[in-house]
Amino acid sequence: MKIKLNNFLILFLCINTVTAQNKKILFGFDEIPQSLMVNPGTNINYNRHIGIPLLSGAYIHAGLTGFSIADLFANDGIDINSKLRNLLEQTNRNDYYTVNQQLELFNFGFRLKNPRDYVSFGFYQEFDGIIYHPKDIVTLALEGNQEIGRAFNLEDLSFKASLIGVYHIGINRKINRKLTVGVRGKIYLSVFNTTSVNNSGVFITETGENNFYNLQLVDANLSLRTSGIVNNNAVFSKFLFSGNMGLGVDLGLTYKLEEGLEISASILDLGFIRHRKDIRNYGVKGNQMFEGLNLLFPTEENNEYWQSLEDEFEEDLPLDTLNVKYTTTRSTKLNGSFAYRFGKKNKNDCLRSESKNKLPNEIGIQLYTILRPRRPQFATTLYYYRRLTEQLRIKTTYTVDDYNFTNIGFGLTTHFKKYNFYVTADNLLGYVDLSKSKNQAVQFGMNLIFE
Amino acid sequence: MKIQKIISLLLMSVIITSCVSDVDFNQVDDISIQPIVKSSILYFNATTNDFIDPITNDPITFISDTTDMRLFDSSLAQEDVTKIVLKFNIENTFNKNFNLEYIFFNEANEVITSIPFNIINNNILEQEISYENGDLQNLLSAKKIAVIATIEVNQDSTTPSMFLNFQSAADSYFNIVVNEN
Repeated sequence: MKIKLNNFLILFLCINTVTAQNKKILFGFDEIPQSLMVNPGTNINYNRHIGIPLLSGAYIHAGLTGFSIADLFANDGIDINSKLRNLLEQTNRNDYYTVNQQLELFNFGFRLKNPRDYVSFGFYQEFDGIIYHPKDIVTLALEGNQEIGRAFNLEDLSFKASLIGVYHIGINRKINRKLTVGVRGKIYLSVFNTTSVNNSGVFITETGENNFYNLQLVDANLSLRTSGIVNNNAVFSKFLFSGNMGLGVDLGLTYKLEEGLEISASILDLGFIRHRKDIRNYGVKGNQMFEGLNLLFPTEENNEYWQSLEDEFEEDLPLDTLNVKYTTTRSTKLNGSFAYRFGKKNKNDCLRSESKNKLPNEIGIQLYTILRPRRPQFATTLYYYRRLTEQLRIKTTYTVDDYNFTNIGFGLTTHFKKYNFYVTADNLLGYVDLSKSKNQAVQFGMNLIFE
Repeated sequence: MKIQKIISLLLMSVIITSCVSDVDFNQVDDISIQPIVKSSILYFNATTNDFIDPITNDPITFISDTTDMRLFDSSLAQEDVTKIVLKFNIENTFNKNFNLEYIFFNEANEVITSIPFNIINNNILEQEISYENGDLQNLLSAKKIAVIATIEVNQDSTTPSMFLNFQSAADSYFNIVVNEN
């Protein structure tokens, strides 16, 4: 137990961000082929790309709102139990803990005979998990039901986790000098999924009518749905063929308003997964109250008060294990940006094609939303992009999201002949002391790009 | 490629040398929580009719009942409870005194502990009994409870509206330690 908990915490520490899957640095960074994965309608200024298998795109992000590792584990001589209590008091039910990880196995793209069209396809694996801080349930565990009249909200229990493989193919078309649009179709293969959202009900202890206490469960409705967890012996084959499949689509566009001004937008993972194999669902629904065992002093012995109480519980709060098929929706993401390009063109640029001939500076604002079980998460990013040389371009970002106002990110991409390497990292200040960071994301990869 | 290597090296070194202030995860071992769980145990309301034999109509001097009681069965209760406070509230509106025995039995039907009450007529008795250490371990082996209520006779006769109301509950104090060792 102890080792597992430590590993879990260290995982948070090492990979440490907040707004999940906000690839703000990659968005609009169109020299990097993986920017097609955040906007299928981005500008493409090359003819072919080959992602280095397994190394073309690795992304990891972990975040927690509420408190940081150091808040709890700092070696400051303060009793951990009082720190824990204070932190739990500050933390509210909309705080969350999240991890997202993606790894591209392959990613290729090429321009069709019609030079307006660029096709890209690939496969990536993704793990995504989010758990909201179950405030009332934690309080119940910590304090018990000692406070008469205190209602504990079972709605606070909300989490989901999934491991999927994604096959995708997209097409990017330059409609005219101003407008580029793109669409990407996705097939999701679910390796496992566990979902417990939309729980409801209240647990409350009140002064009883017939006895000291009346323990009540009111309108309880709890459910846990899982697929792929039973019979979990063939994880790898499930990436290739899973009975639990789904479909999704990414849409995007870039529109040039006038020279130097551009807007772009994308919607990602508008999709669902239908779970039909290896399903194990649990549900509890009903009302219950307990004032104690009521003795009736019958003349015969053998009184089954306890047994009838248990029977009553089972009847009023039946555990439903119906393994019915279910559908989950993907966490849909929305991106939008407004960019302004400026500066002097390099002399050499005159010799280059129109698409390469872009101004070396860009500033802009990006908006990001991800739809989550309880409410959407939002982020706003200001950024500056600079083409330092033909070989090296950089982008710096400043992001404000749910609970973090000091998120400065940095990305760079290098282009030596056909070799491309890129890396993006957000919340750089977090690296000053990872244990105090609530939010860290890193992405990097290598491609061959043919112009 | 050289510059590329240098840049990756630089980035890696930033990530590797990034600081982690003095944190001590071993503090997890010191985490302990102390919830208090309140639960009713049993109750009854015995009226004049309960003290009359339904067949012979003769007065009955005592009544008794027994029930299984598995409230302390969970391993959490067995291992992590440090104190139990039993609470009683007994109201006697009869014009007679009552002697009441509240008896706990273990799995082998042996008496663990027996709590006597004397409730004088037209009176309310409130009582709390705290169990810790050895007494607590004894109490936690309880699987059954019996109640015997005896009327002290040779007093005035009863009237129908009289009752003996009995309420009992337990406040269990837990101390749950993450790492027991």
